[in-house]
Amino acid sequence: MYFNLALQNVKKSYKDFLIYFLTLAFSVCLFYTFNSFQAQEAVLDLNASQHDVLVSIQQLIKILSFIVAMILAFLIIYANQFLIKRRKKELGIYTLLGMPKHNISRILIYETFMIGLISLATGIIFGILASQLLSVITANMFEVTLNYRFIFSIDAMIFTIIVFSLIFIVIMFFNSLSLNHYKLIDLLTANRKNETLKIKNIWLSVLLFIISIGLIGYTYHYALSKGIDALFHIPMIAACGISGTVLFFMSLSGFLLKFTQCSKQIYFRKLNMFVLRQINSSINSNFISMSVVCLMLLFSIGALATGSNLNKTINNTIKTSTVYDYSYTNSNQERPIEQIKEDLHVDMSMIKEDFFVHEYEADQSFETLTPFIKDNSIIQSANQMDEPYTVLPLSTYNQLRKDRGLNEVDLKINEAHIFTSSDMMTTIIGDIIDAHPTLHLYGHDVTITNDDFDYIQGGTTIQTAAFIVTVVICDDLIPNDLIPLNSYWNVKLNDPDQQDQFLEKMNEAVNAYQDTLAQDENSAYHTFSSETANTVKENSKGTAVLLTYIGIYLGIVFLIASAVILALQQLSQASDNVARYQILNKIGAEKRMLSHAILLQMAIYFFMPLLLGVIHSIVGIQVVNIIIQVFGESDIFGASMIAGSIILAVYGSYFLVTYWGSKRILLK
Amino acid sequence: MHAILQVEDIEKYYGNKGNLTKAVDHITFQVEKGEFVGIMGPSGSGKTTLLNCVSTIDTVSSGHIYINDKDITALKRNTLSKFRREELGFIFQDFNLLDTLTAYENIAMALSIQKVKPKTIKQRVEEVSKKLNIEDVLQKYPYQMSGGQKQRVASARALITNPSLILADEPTGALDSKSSRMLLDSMEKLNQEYHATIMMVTHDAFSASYAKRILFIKDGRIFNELIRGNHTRKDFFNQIIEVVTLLGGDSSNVL
Repeated sequence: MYFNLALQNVKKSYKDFLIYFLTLAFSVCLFYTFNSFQAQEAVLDLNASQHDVLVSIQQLIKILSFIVAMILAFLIIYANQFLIKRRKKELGIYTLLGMPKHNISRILIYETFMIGLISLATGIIFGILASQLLSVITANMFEVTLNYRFIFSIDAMIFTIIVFSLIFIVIMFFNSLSLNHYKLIDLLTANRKNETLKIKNIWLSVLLFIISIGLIGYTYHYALSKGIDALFHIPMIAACGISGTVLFFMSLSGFLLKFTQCSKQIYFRKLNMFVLRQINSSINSNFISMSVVCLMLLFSIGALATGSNLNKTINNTIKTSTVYDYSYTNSNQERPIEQIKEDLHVDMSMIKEDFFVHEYEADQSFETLTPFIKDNSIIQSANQMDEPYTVLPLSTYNQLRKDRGLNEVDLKINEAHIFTSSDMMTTIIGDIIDAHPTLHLYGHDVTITNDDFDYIQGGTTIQTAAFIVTVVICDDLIPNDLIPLNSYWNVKLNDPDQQDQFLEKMNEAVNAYQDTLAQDENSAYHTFSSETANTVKENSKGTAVLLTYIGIYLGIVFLIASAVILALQQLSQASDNVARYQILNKIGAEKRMLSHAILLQMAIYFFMPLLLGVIHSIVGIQVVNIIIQVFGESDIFGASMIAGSIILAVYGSYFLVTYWGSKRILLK
Repeated sequence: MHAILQVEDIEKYYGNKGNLTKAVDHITFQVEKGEFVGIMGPSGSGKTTLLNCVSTIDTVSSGHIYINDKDITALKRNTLSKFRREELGFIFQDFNLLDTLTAYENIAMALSIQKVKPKTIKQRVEEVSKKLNIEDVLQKYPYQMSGGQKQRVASARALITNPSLILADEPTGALDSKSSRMLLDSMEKLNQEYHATIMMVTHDAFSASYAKRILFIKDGRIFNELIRGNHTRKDFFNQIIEVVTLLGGDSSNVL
């Protein structure tokens, strides 16, 4: 009987259940799609390094999925609570008819079970479809061919089912809990009951509003002033930021009310007064969700912007780091690279041309450069003050420039140039260039004469910051007996397409060489890298794909979650507000006026969190930019445009759907 | 005297050819400026339908209704809500106050909807609240007020727009006897001192006794008419009870 009753309920009030069901199905779909990631491997032509990337993406997604599961659980519990709220009267009637509470919760459990089952099935079906699409996208990003066939991941399905079963159990628990909480009179008069205002005093909310603004401003200042160290101060930043945001939304409606009340012109214009009071009256059930939405939008914008940006940044880096078909990088100061090349017995027949790059240690430390630098935080935080900077001979520098299609430079004996290969050092090098300082190197005075510089790498390497701060001087000034700090053996092949074969041969030789070295107990640890342009490209691309995927996965999850929360809340509250709109209609407000009031109300609910979220993320991205420049010069503006348009599309359409839906409920 | 409301031979049918219900059946009457007219009748007599037709919420099947010489049965839908908010004031049984607004704001809302200049609002609200003795509850929310206070706030809201006609639908229906009396006193005062024209629908004889003229409706037709004239309210009340008994309404309607 209870089962039938539950079935009837679901059938009858399917419109009420629809939003809940959609939220569930959507969550399941997303969850399955991203957890079935590794199954894509079956249809993609991946090489070993790409396979590694895929595995690490999968591992990261597994970890992230726990966070995502928590978010989804929150979302679903939230949707469920709204559903219960809407059905208070129905539950009251059951109680009135004498049905014991445990039987009512049995009905609710059956209902949850039914909805859960349907949405789980629907979600997984759509998830399977979506994962097919995802594999096409992955193939595109890796630039590999797709041998399309149907993908299905049993692991992902089991994982999804387990996670959502847990969520359903939590919901059932919540339902019985909230049921025990209600009194019969509350259930029956649920519609009539007013929310009691938590902040009664409007002046108090004005004060809280000012505090919240101060707190948020302080957080911004704190995060920006810490620069790259912001990472270590995340708990403090989060605590201030979150409490500031929560306070902001808690006091926002009271502040707006007080603020507009000061201007009778605005307050008594059309339905403004009604809308503001309306928002103020329901703020207690809304401020938490608005704060959550705001913070989720911050993550969403941040993740989307940095996610879509990284791919581009890394593609730029690839170009400058893959000039040579092959590079052997040596950091072993006991064995010169020329010697190693001999010992490796390289097959010279494949090589078109090759040359050596030697990078020397200066006899001066970074500290001697600090007077010329305005902001020392980057060097300081990297603890490199005592380290020497490096020196490159002019002939090598010109060779590197020539291979990049840059003009060669000419230096007098007392002149020097300074450059870097790392974007992170851009401002520092800029400061030094502006100062044109005279340096004392190996007993000679040289003056920095260049007015700008190019990012130049010593060879083909996955290290993006090989030359940190490097000074170019005439070859003669470098002492003959100086041992290089790092050396590169750069190779151009007769046929660049033979890179893989060449690398294979080289690796064999290197391995053999390593074995002989290992037998020699006196030998120092041999640090080296052996890379072709292809391996560097794949490696960088892998990182880009990984970060892009994570960014977009989380970004979309947060974005949709926040839009769903707001939409759900507004639609549910719309039916509570029908009576008020009817009154307005009775005392003569036109439909047009009422639609405007609804629009204004929805706009405040949707765009206040977005506004604060955008401001938060502008600051957030600035901070991330300081850190992310390690990867490359970031074009934050372009990336923000992409992220912005995704957000506007998703969020905006949710806004419109909610507006239309509320209008339909309120003005029927 | 000038007739504010002129109802000419109106009919209102519900249902279809096979099963026709005449809720209002050829009713004709007039309300003069400054009158306080009561409409009485048992449940199902058609008094609410009549009120709905007059208040432009419902349309008539035939006949004409003139308010201030304007034929509202000929008005278009778009102009109706404008007409309603400019010419009519409403007092409802369940107050219909907005629970999120203070009394002051509830009253001001009627002016806001009319797009009255915000500057003049304060003065007008204070003026009308003085008339209705609600100055001390203006800053309260509906849930902080008694039923009688709520209904007087609702009356103030109906009155503030200076409507040609105030329509009251069972205004004492949700009030206890003391609050009813206070409300009716205020309505009487509005009528006598400020010459407001009021048409009140009720099935409570006590409330009706405050009116100057009462129309009795039964089965959609005007059944009787009572004029208070120079009688005391107590006499008038007894006369009403006699007619109500004649009407044969439900016994619960008699008391």
